[in-house]
This record gives sequence, structure tokens and C-alpha cells, in this order.
Amino acid sequence: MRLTIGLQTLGALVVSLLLVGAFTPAVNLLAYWRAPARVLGPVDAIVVLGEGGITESGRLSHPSLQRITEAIDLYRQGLAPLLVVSGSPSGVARTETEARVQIARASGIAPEAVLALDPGRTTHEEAQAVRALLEPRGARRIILVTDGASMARSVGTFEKVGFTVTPSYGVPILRWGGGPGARLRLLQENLIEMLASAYYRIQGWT
Amino acid sequence: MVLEQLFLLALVAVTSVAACAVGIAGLGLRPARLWEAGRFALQLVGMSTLFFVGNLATGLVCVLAVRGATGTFVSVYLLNDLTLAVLSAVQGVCFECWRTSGRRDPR
Repeated sequence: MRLTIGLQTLGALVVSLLLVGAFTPAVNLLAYWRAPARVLGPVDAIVVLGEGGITESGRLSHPSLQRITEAIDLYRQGLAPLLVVSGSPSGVARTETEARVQIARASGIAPEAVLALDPGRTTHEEAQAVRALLEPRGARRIILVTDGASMARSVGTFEKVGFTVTPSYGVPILRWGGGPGARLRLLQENLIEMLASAYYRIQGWT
Repeated sequence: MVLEQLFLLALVAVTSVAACAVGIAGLGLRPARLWEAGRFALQLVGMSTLFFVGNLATGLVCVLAVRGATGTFVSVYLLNDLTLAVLSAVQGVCFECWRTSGRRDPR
């Protein structure tokens, strides 16, 4: 009987969470609250993290393309003299990093301004690789380009290895929009990131 | 956007009312049993949630164990798949129906 009531209570909580998540702006507020805020300004380098990798057909995934495009836009605004490109490992011929570097160079960025990292498997590995690359150049201030939900953890990870980090969006904007499906995806991303952030804190990486 | 949300809610409300009407008038179901059915539905959701959390926790332990024991990198994002939620729901529904099968009225 006690188990039955417990299950009913848990079920009611889950259904309530789904309804609140889908049909109210609570998730938008959660995402806004989690997003780190810094004023966007000139830095030493723009760092774009791996995301989504390469598809089986050898093309950049949509999120990966979005991020490198955002990084190129920031570079063109003159916010940094260097663009550091990271990427996930891939099972196909070219890596995400190689594909992104090609796009950056094809966009008219000088080859010497684009620095490529070896494929990183985690944000922690990427932070260490970026430090190894930028420390000899005296670069300590960076703009970080990654997706919104993982920005808080990524900023914490890079700050832990000694960088002063500005998120690519600068100061977040509270957006109330999004249909129920989009809000549930946002909820999912934020819940996953909250778990990942807890794991990173336990590991001492943030 | 608000209209889109209201449309979805209204859609579900209309089909729920229609299902009630069909249930009472067409299938001869007793309205008083609807509350009980709702609670049982929540039970199913609750049990499915337990399976989902159990699957996630087990998966996480497996991923970390493989990383620790073999040095091979396995991404935790393997667990971020809709299939896991669907299969957990099937597990939860099946298990809860089994658990309560002796107590529920077979009709």
C-alpha cells in the first residue's frame, strides 16, 4: 500500500514537472538563471568547443556548424586575434576540428590566426589542451563558444585551469518563447547539464 | 506561441471528454472508476520513472567502470537517448501490471 501511494505521488510529480516544463516559462527562467553573464569585450582568443562532431557522410553536424559560424562572427568583430578550434573525435576520414578549420580559413581568416586542437573527448580535456596551447602565448582571457546549456560547466572548467572566461553571448537574454516540445528539450538539456556539473564538481574540475 | 500551447491542451481536453463519453455511453464504464484509473495511470508513470532512474544509474556505473577498468573512453551521452525513456516506460508498465495483477479487477 505504501509503495502504491509512493508510486502515485512520484507519478504525479513527474506529470506535474512535464506540464510545468512544457506549458510555462519555468524552464526558460531556469536556463536564464544557470547561464553565466559577463560583458563581451576584447580578449586574447576565441575558443570554440567540440559539439556534435562529424556526420557519417563526413559533413559537420548542424550544432558544430552553428558554433564555428558564431566563433567566426566574433572574430570578425575584432574581439580577439586568435581563433582556437576544438572538435570531437570522429570515426570518419576527417575530424570535426579539420572541417571547422577549413571553414574558418575559407571565411578569410588568416591561417596563422586559426589554431587547431587535437580532438578532445571531454570539456575537461579540452580545457587542459587549450591551456597547453595558449599559456606559452600569454593568452589568459578567452571568449568561449559552446551551447547554452553547457556554458556554465564549460566556463567553470576553463576558469579552473586559469582562464578568464567570457561566454560567447556575453550577458544572457531572458527568452520566454518556445513551444512545449522545445521547452521539454531545454528542460532535458538543463537537467543533464546539472548532473554533469555535479560530476565535474565532485571530480574537482570546476 | 500561447495559442499553440492552448491548442495542444484544448486538443487533449476535447479527446479526453470524447473518450469519457464513449466509455460511459458506449462501453458502459462507471464514471466513479475514472478516479481510480487516473491513480493507476500515475502508478504506471511512477514505476516507469523508477525504471528510468535505475537504468540511468546502472548505465552511468557501467560507463564509469569501463572507463576506469580499461581506460577506454565511453561517452556518458550514450544514455541521452529517447529509446531509454521509451523502454523504461515499457518496463514500468509491464512490471506494475504484473505487481498488481492479483489485486485489480480483471474486468
